[in-house]
Amino acid sequence: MRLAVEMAIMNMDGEISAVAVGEDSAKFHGMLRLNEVAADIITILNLSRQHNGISFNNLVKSLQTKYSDSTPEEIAKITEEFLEKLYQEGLLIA
Amino acid sequence: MEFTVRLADKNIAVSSLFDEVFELCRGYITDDPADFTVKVTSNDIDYENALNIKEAQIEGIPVVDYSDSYLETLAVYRKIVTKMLEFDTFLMHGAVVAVGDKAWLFTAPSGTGKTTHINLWLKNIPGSYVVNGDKPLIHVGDECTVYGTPWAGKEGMNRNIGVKLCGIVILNRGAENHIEKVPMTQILPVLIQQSYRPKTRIELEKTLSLLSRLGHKITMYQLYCNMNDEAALTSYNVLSGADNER
Repeated sequence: MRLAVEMAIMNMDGEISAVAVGEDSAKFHGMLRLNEVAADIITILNLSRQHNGISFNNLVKSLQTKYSDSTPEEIAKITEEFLEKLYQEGLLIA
Repeated sequence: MEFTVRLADKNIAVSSLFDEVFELCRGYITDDPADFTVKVTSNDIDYENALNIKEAQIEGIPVVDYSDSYLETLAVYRKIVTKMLEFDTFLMHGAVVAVGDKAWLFTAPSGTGKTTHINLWLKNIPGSYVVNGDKPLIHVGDECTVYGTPWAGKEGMNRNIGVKLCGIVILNRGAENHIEKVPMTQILPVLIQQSYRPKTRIELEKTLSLLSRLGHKITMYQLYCNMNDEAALTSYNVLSGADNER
């Protein structure tokens, strides 16, 4: 999977948001509010765009290195929920 | 043709293919040495034309067949605005009205009534004047300064000055006139939509960072207003009396 568009991250007083970059940004009105994990997911997806995307398992593995106090199942569940949101917004391509 | 304009305290050498951009910038020409240069090519004009078609399709409105010389004016400003990010300056779509040395930016999607509202200020608030009717530049430094530019919308209302920006007002149509302070996070989606969003992630993140800094320095408002004279008095009384300096 990969992001349909690159996303810019904004952190204002701890409130994190993502905004679509480029000419296609008009398709994605407004912005996404993110928690810390979601912001990390966007960052990884941004980086992986240059390499034709990333698999779900590799994404979860990447997150595990930072959130080692959570179980892989917990991270997988949170990731799955956020990715579903991205799919629904048209921001993620399988 | 080649000339230098002074915008937001920077001198910009412009190399253009047509005269229209020079005519547009006539009130901003300077003989001083340039801080940077922008040069327009036919590819830049083709890009503006393609973007115009694409945006019309997205909005579901008829495509307007603009001349190349007009499209060049857009290309020049796009290049200037992108470069201006390096000087902590960005563009927010909106109408800026000032009284004395204090200015306020009214922003809203096109057609909401920004121009109508600032015309009510001009009619009802003594000493009020328009800094820029459509595409002002905002510098975020120790203070925030908003600048007139020649790119100022259909009416072309602009003044070649920089004025302290004291607040941003999201304008909404309403039956009654009412204005209130709002936290920036509440109106952030509108502010992002109304800001010029550059093509690259790095540049967009710089724009978002400037927006965030702006939010710490000036007060944000939400205005609901009708088209009566009282609308201008309602907004002016609160804005001019408010403690806008943080």
